[in-house]
Amino acid sequence: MILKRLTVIAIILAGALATTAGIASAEEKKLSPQDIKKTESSLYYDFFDKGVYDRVTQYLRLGRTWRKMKGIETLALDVNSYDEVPDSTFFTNRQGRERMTAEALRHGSCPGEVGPSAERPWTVIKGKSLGKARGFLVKDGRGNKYLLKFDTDGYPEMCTAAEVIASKFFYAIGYNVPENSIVTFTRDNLTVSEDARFYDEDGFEKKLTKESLNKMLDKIEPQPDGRYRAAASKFIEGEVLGPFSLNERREDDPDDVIVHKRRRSIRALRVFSSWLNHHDIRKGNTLDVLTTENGKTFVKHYLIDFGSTLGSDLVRPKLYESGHEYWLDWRQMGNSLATLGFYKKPWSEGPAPVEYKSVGYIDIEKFDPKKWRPLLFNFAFDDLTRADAFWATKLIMSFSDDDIRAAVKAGELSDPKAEDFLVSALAARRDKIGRAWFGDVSPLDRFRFEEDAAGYQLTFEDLALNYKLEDETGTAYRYRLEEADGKGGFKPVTDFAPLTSVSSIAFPSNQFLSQGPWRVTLQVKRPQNKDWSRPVYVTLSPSDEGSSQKKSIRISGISH
Amino acid sequence: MRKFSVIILFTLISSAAVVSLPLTAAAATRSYDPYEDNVDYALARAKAKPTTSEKIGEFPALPFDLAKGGIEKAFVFVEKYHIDTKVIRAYENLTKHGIYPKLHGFGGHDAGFGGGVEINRNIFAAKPIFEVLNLDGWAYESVRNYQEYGSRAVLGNVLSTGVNLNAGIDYRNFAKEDFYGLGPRTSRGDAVNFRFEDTTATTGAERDLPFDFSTDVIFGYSHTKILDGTDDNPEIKKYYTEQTLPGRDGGDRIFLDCGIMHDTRDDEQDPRSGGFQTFRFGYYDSFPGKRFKYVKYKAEAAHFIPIFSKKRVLAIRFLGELNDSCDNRHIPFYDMARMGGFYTLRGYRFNRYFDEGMMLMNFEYRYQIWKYKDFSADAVPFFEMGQVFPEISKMRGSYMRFSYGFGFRAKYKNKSVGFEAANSSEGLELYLGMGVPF
Repeated sequence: MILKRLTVIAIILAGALATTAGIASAEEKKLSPQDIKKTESSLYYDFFDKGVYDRVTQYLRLGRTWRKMKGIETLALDVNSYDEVPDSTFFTNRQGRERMTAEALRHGSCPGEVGPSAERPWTVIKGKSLGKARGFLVKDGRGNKYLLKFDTDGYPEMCTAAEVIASKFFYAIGYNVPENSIVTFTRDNLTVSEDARFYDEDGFEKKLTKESLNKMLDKIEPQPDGRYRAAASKFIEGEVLGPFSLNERREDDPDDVIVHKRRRSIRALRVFSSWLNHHDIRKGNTLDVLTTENGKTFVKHYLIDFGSTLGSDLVRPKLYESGHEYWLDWRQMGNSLATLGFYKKPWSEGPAPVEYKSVGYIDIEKFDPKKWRPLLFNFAFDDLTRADAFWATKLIMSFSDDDIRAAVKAGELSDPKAEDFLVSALAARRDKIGRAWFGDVSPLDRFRFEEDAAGYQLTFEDLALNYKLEDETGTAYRYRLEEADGKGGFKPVTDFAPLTSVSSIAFPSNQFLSQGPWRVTLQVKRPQNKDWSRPVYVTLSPSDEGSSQKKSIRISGISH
Repeated sequence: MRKFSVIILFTLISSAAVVSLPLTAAAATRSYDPYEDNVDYALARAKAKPTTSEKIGEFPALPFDLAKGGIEKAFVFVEKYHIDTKVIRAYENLTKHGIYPKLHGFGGHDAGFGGGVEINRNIFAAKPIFEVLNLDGWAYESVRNYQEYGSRAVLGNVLSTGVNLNAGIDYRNFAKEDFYGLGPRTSRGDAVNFRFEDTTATTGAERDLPFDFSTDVIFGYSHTKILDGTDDNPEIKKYYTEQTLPGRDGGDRIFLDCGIMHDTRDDEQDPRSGGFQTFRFGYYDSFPGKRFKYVKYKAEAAHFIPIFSKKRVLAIRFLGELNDSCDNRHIPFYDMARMGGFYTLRGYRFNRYFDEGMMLMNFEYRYQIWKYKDFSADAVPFFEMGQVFPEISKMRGSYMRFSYGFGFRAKYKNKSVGFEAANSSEGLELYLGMGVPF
């Protein structure tokens, strides 16, 4: 009997050990390209799927339709308890964590030497095979590969500058982007690889020769000095896996645990894209790469192709409806249909004015951040919550005019007036975004909770005042302290009280006699508003640290 | 030993103090790291999974989601291998050589989708005798056995007079045409079926005139056969004789037809302003034989009125035709005025009404509801009315037929593909095809 029990115990132990060993080995096992299924991008499919299919079938998704009708928000899941987005394979806090220097902004993702090596010639290894922009691939003296993209005739610098400038902004915000820079070269600086191929105008793959390269260059307008200007986009190191969906997660990626439409870092692209006029933000302009950093192999998610940002629509300036309508916008079509074509879109007054050909058309006056639309609909952008938008806006507002100029300088616009215009346009769009989205929440941030002689002090900053978007005169705040009710919620400890000292609340120690946690509810009222704003909640929890005389309390959560 | 322990303890405490100093300073600025990765990913993953009720809510979209499978692969294939570029370039290369692959509607109620090719080549010039010799040929076939083949040669600007001389031949074989009887009071239930086979040879001259006018004259010979049709309706020969329906047995004719046209349209395929007016007169006689002899008058006028913008256009058309027999001879039924179908009265079937005369009016309001680069879409409500009659004095209000409907036309530049629905006293007619009715 005893022997039997011992045997059973031994089997159980052995099984447990084996299982543990198996788990350990699975965790230690490096992700390999075979583990991840590659995806391919298609412009036509993006237009079909997001432009038509999802727009039509969204109403058949009853849960979603119900939530939309009732105004129920689905909260993002990649946020921490402080309502911030921690670093991930999608996003790295850069400008948000610490204001970047002008040099860092200008360099963006290019550490050290920017662009292909100065040592020439560069070897052309392939013609660009997809997309509308003209270009080809080169290998520099260091063995790095770059995709060179060119401007369209009549709009020198427009597309290349947009490509580089937008990538600097997206990098500073926190996204992974390729190393983009402006380069110039002459025909003599290029040689053609023996095995270089390209697709000719008839769509057939052919050997790339010096003659065919010259034919390609003949169609590109050189600069006045005879040199060719291009945006050089460095090939991302690692195994390229193809684009990622803005809505769904990559099922075979063990790190990709949250569906993308519930990632704030993806949803907020709507706000960032509205600022930078990136109306072509879609699956086809993203890229997953299997990369190894610090000994860990993982899928890193990139944004690529910024030729349709700012005032550029790749081969022409932006159309006046860019940012105002989806490609197929049922609402606009419905308005036109119902009014027998007499509905006048506010943004459709005449052709888009192009002040600087190197900038293209970027709308300031009619830009409406909340109504901004990318070319193609997607669920992630549609699910943007006010908290998501606040987070994105906070990041955008952190770019000062000087910061914007530093990033714009990376575009190497030859006309200083064009540069000034673009800087002022982005600053104006930034402020419009601030006014629009900060108005939806209590834009209070940078909370601190400290002990003082009388008790505790909660201090905060009003970002709308910091950025001079609202007038301090007439702005009022109120707060209420709540404590845990033992049922997962909070009950008020005090009534709402006005703040006597702006951006600082004093709490006596005796208000924190319970076990906690506690919550401070804060609201703002601007002179132009009748009602108090949507509240911001600051959760306080007892802490093990601190002095022994008084209960130590720390901020454990923030929710907008 | 004890002293040594005290020194170690002191060292440890002082080190801890030194290490904690910056931490305390940091805590004074912000006691927490706002970017701390304290996300519970297991909980997030669980929350991200759709609940049962959410899955049920998605159910109505499921059939479409399933049907969508495979489309992405097809699109990726097209782009990866540049199939789109190959097709477009192949089309462009063909058209560069004067070869135009085309979709072609035969008009018949049950003619089916058709397509074919048109070849148009400028062969050579022999100045000053003529500026260019243009050869034009076409061949169309539908899935329901409708055929049309033809060719035409044009000598341009002969002797520098501005006159173009032409000669051509055209063969048409329409396998299942319907005939409902003559006059305005026929019933759709009386439909009989026939096959229309016709070969016409023509020669003529045309010239542009000042002030947007042009004129032309055609002399031709036509050989027509009326045979058994291929649809389920009774054969025409079971119900009619050549005596009761002239032309039932076909016939040969010679004709002389001339016309004058005034055209101020801004675009022939998608007019948004201007208009056109045409008047034609034709004389037809049996050859050989003496069965048919008649004259044909045809007038058409259309105007396109932009309403504050070319995005909104009111299009109005009048079409009238009168055939008048001569010397107590006859008019073959297949060359009488006909009404019904996409190009005339959309609420009625193709060639629903036959008689010696016809008059109709179309009103269309074409307005743009969408535009993206060179692509656009128009919505088109329309109303039309018309009647056939044996002679003008016998026109009656009660014989007037009305039709109304709505359509959408998707356009690339000035080429359009439309879907239209028209209603009338005989029910709903649907159209899917290229081009505009006028």
